[in-house]
Amino acid sequence: MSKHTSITWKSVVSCLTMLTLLLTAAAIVQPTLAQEKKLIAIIVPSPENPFFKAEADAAETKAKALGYDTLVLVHNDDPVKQDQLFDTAIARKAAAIILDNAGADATIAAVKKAKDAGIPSFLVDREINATGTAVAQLVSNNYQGATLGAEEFAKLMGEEGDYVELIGKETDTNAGIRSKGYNDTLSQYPKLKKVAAQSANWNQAEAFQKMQTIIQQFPNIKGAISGNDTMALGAYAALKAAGKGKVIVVGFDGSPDVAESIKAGEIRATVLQPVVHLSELAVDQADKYIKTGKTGQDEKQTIDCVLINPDNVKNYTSFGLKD
Amino acid sequence: MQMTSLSKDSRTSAQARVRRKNFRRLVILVLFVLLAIVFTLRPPFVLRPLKDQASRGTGSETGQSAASKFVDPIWTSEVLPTFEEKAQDIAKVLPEIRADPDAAGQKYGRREATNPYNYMVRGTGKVTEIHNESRAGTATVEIPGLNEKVAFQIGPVVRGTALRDATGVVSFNQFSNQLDYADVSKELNGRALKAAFANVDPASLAGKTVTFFGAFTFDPHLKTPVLITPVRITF
Repeated sequence: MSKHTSITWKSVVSCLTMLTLLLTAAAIVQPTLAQEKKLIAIIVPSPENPFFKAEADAAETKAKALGYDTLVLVHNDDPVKQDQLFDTAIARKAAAIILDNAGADATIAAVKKAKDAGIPSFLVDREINATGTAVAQLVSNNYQGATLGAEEFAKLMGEEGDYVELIGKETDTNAGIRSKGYNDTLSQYPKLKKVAAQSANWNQAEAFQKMQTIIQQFPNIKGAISGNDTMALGAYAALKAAGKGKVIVVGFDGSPDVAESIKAGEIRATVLQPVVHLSELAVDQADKYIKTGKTGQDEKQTIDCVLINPDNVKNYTSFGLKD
Repeated sequence: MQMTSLSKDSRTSAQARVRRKNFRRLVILVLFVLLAIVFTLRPPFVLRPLKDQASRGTGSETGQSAASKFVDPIWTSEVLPTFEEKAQDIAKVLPEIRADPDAAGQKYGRREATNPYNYMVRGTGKVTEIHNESRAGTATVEIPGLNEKVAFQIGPVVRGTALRDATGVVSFNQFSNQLDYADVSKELNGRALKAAFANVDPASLAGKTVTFFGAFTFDPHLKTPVLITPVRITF
């Protein structure tokens, strides 16, 4: 029995070894084919969301402009997948990794692995729960953004009246941060009354349904503040369908659809996370680090969000703002 | 012959049985290992320390006291002296800032990454308007030699993070996350307004000439007057 087991084990082990060798060989052959340019690996959550697509595109364009080859990889918010992508980046001998990560805790090990292999990581958008591992963490200041959105909302509401809040996916840190920013600000206005707060999980269809129910319960609401733009769009569609197109809706993200809605005089404002700018900044700092061994900046950097309303929406470009 | 072949057959089938059994064991083992890996990397539950839960539960109170603890030792020994020492005359710097925000920013301002610049300023001027129809109240000031009006915040709602970001005493790197960082800004704003209006009702300032120390964030896109968070007002 032990003999058979060992045979089976042996065959499994040899299969795995062969596979590993093949993969390694494939990985080694590729970079030697194009060795003139250094490589920047760009690892992002999902290109289906226009926010992450804008983020990846901006990093890629900037890196190419600075003379790098690029490799864009997608982890779909899966830390296991992300870990494999780090292996790929390491095998391809990337000069730097630009990362929008798949989890504040789960990512630490992957970034450390790259660091140990001599590859610096530059994080954009989301932070990790460790310092000294990544070279830079460029985070959009969601709390500051939420305060901006809430201040504008209070102003539009005339600082009084009933309103509802749509909250993002409750397991997502940013849902909590934005909601806290909204409530810290709006609770300072005693005549503003929050009559309902519900999660619609960042989702447009869910926001539409939730808002339909809310309208029946509270037909006189004057405003709705939403944790992101897709929920704002869903909520506004429900309000409009109920003949309440004048209800004040404010979103968060600065998506192209909401920019169009603001231009059309429907949704009143959103908060732009300047993700294009974040990506470009991260690549700039990576370039500087590759050339000089330092970025000249603190590791943790917050980038302020910007309010988009009818006054400046004409300067809006996909997830960015022209001067 | 028959015997041998029979025994050989039975031996082979016994071998096959063992092999199948081993194979099944191996599959189960591999499944377990995979499951263990998956669970390690993506735990189906999250362990959170109770302290964390508690601070979330009670909301701003605990955060505020942490922020208060952070600000206490620096408020009188670092933040206020920095203003006394480094605040620029607003009548001098504001025209320079308007003319060339980047150059003036590098010379007089302070910022994180590529955010707007923050400035520490002082100035003397006449309060011409008090706006307290909004909870985020402001006082408009006309300053001799300056061709634009400026405003300072009179509360009770105080906006922005100019005070936190202008002095260089506080930076994001000192905090584990943006919420703690934001709490410190709120704490600083609260103390500033309390100190500035300790001896005077802001509404009574209309028509008076005041000297102020404070901070503002410069946004070239805003058409409204520069909005100062005051740390000291005398008249």
